[in-house]
Amino acid sequence: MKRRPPTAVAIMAALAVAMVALPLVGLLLRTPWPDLGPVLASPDVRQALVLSAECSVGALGVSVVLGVPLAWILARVSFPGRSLVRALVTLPMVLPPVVGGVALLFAFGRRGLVGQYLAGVPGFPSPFTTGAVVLAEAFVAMPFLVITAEAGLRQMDQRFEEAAATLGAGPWRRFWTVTLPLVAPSLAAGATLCWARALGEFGATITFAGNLPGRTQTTPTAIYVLLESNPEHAVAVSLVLLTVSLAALIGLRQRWLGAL
Amino acid sequence: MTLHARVALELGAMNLDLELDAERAGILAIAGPNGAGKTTLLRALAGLLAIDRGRVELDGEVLDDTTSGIHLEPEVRPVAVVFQDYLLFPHLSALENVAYGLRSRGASRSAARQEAGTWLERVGVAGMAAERPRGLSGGQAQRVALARALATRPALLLLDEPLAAIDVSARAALRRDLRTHLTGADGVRIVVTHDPLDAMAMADRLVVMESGRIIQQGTLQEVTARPRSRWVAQLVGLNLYRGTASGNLITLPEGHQIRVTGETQGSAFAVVHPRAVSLHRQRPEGSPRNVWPGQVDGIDFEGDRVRVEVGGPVGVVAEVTPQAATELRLAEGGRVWVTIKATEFEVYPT
Repeated sequence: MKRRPPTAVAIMAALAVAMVALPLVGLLLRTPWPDLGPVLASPDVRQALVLSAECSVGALGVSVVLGVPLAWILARVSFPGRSLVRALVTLPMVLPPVVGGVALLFAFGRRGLVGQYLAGVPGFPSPFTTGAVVLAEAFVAMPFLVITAEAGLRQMDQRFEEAAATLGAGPWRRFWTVTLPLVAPSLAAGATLCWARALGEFGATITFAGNLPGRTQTTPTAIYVLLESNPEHAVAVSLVLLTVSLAALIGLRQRWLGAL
Repeated sequence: MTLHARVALELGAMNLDLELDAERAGILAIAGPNGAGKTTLLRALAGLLAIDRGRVELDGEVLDDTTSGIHLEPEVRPVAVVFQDYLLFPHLSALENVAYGLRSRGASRSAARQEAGTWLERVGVAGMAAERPRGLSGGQAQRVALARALATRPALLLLDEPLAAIDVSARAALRRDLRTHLTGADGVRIVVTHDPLDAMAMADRLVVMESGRIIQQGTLQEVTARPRSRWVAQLVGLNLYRGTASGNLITLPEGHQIRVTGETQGSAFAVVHPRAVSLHRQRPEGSPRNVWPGQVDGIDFEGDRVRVEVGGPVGVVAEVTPQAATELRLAEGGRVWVTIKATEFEVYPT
């Protein structure tokens, strides 16, 4: 049965689409297409793009190494306070990123909770360093990986692990050869979401890591600065992030959105 | 090789408490209705469930002993399982599935693959080596699962309802093959089943379980001669014929012929459930291929159904409703006509 929507509903829905689409159209219209190549190759822009790529991949790495074991424990181990831990680690998804940045400052700053003891230790992510960018991005993005991976681990038929055990596979072998391959689609989706979120991170990064070109200036913070000084460049770089987001969306399409 | 198991374990509504001994010689069937605790027992023997009280010993090696706190993990037990839905790893090919256990136990990649190939050949699915489980039929998947379990050369092989997922049409052949492969295997072999036919066709010894307890055990003959449970009674209540098959005809020792479906040659069993046997007052006309006259030898009222023993050229037990029994005016000594469709017989070689 085909149904004609009430006029008022149709108008609201059309406005909703316009609200999302118009800014994107505006961005595309303002894009300096002929100069796109030279703009993206200019040193300040290139520097920000490269740093963004490096830091977002670093944040993804941190999230995978720490987040997957966490997801496994949340999915498989029953312990008191589990829902509390789950709520805590997913908090950054709803926390205003700037608040996250402030919190990171008070933890890792020179006088912070752990910073007062560890500042100066090589590799410690002190504020306003590239390490701080990675930490801020991971702080905000890791929950996306954790909840997706946890859901995948819960949905997986654990009897496959039992079958592996009866075939002589110990816990590690079971994890690498059975669990991981079976939850790979969830992990890939979670990793994509996590990386895309890290790439776009702004609030926590600029608060905790600052905006030093070449050291902590990522693409989003660069766009923010360029909008004042060089709007054409800001538009061009925005287009890059838009393209990346679109690519991530297409990559997730099959798993998350069905037929798009 | 022998298995001695004393197992007590509570799991939700399941309360398992039994003592089981199994010898290396012969195949043991653990049979009983659904919910009897068969699968729970199997999982406990495999180490997938910890027992509350008891001791499990296999070839002198203690796998479980609650008094001394011993519980070997499944991966270090010389026990393999063919699971009810096989649980073939969906991301691995048939060959890699079979090689998995060999790799786990330290074989090199090439040695494991080579041996896995031999096992696939042995169970008759060498052609499917590269196939993922989703590309396998039920029967092929069962054979791969069997090869995967046998490849680790377990001292104890456990099969959980190995034929439950198989079409009735393919069952008889698979049952026979399974029996052949199990007979050729070493170690203690235990088949769990709720199907009396599987138990009768595959096992040499039968353990009957109900509500977490063993209520009867012994050879097939011993168990079926004196049923001590409703389940065994049903097992005995089947109409079982043994004769010589030639195509779709089975000639019984008395000379009477039963018409069945399929192509079978040589000595064979034909089984039909009493429910599939119809009774009539007059010689009926119609499609059933087996029609013969007889006389009522006995009538048993069992709640909502009536079991009627019919004597004649071929003795048979029919199960009808009380209404039908009334309409047929059944009485001991009365004449009736028996009809059975050829498709209702299950036939398998002896």
